[in-house]
Amino acid sequence: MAVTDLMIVAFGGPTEECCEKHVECPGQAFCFVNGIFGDNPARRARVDEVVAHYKELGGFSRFNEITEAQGAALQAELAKRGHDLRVTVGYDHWMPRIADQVGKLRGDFLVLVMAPHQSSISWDAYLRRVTEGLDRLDASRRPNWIGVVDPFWNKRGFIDALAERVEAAASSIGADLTNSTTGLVLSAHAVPLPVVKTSKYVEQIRETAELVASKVGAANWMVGYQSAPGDSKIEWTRPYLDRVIVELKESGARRIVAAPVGFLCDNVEVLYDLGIEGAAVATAYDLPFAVAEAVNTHSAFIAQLADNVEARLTHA
Amino acid sequence: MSLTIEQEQGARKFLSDLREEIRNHAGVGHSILGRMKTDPRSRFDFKVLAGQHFPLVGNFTRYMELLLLNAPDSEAKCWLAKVLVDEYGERSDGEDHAEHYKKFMHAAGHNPGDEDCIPLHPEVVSFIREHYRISTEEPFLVGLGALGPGHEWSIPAMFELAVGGLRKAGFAESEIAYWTMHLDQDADHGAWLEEALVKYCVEDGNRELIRKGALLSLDARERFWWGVTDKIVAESTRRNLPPGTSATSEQGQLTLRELRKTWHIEARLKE
Repeated sequence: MAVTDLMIVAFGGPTEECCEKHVECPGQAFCFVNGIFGDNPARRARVDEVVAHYKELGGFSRFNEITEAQGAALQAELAKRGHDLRVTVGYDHWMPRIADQVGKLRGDFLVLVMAPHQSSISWDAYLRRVTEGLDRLDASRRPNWIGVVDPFWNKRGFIDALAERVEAAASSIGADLTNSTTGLVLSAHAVPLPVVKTSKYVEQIRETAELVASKVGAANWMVGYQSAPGDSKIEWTRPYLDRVIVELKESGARRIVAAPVGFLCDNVEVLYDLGIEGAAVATAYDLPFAVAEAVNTHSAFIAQLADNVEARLTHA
Repeated sequence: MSLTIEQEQGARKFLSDLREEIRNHAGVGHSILGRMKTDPRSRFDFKVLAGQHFPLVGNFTRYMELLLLNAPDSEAKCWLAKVLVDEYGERSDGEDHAEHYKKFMHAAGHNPGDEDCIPLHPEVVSFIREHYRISTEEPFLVGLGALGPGHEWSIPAMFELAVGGLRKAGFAESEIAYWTMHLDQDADHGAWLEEALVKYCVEDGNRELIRKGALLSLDARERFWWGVTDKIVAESTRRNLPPGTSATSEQGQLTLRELRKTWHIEARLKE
């Protein structure tokens, strides 16, 4: 059978495009964040808090721009390897929506989930949007075959890309990762504990962190979780980033390198929650602080994605 | 006990603040509910939700009955009894709430008789276990806080959002009677409750117990909604995509029928 398309699915971020849900636009960042919480007055304070983060970064996100660049780079890499797949990108929380994009696919297709670690609220949530798109199709337009590309949390190209980013960040502040006076935080998005009960999210992050730490020879490192909503009353995955910075200091770190191993692009969580809030914690303890760039379009990462796509194509 | 004007004002201020705290709790404002307004859910989503929610519906009456046994005075017993009478079906054509819920489940796509054969997310089981614990092991006022404000003041807000989503998904009014009847009945229960609570809310110690119960219940509710979210997205993935593509596993998840075999709830003489 002929696989014609590769559908990339991701969380999404606010762009200058208008969602046209309000007569007077309250700002794309507001519409984006408010949409995640469902326009619910009970969560308004949290919505306003996150919108303020976006505003501090200019009111928009580069999430979609970077994801589309990743898609273009992947399509080019696949073409070099002899695979003529058209790449289409769709988002869970912004335009173009995943379900709408499914309607544009031409036949059998592969889905690539842009989440390095698997939990239902990212991995399955994006795939659910694919099924929503499939439900809208007439029987005659439904594909005969759909494949989901395997995750890549422990794959060499992903780890190599992360390791290079970590080393670049360390160099920027003259930090020697092999010396325990450099603390390395490998950060990922916190998720509520009810969700990790059914998935391997925490174990996968741990494995990514171990592989990256080993690759760069880190002497003093910890996994840190970030960006948990402050208004939630239940436990999310811990330890949190701020606590990890303190623990690394207590263990002898005199400078901190933070690497967003749970994120694939420099989105607001990386730029604000890690780059501004994380930096503020480190500064309060007089610790020089550097944030590694996310993998973004790193060539090793893109090559790894292409390897995973090729592996799935062999089963088509 | 008659209260001074000052005592009554203080008690009502506390209850008003507690209502506000409940309204803004992340369990009441969970994104799965909020997004029903803005992000239409399918009948299949509600089928999954129903399978996870049914065990809560079916056990609520038992928590209330257990709490009634510990109620310290007739006034508290009266409130609990009035709510129980509604739960038994007094204002819903003589059918108890679990029976009404089954009608919704069948409309959502569950086969009659299968209601208690659905693997339950661990947080569904935890919610029920926590409420049995609260209603039997905690002081009476903690139980009252959990089943009173924790339920009666939160359910109308949560169900209003759910009813909007159910209507958008195309359910007929007759199919969602369980949900709509709670908008009215729980508003009544909440008002009766406030009157019953005033006399307990004069002392700071009592207020703390009631608030503790409400928040214990709502925290369990927030975990429950995450569990339902987890189930909905995972089941949607399993339904349409190749086996093994979901990030989740149902390994070790028990059904309500299996739980009933292992749980023994009893009230008996202890000497």
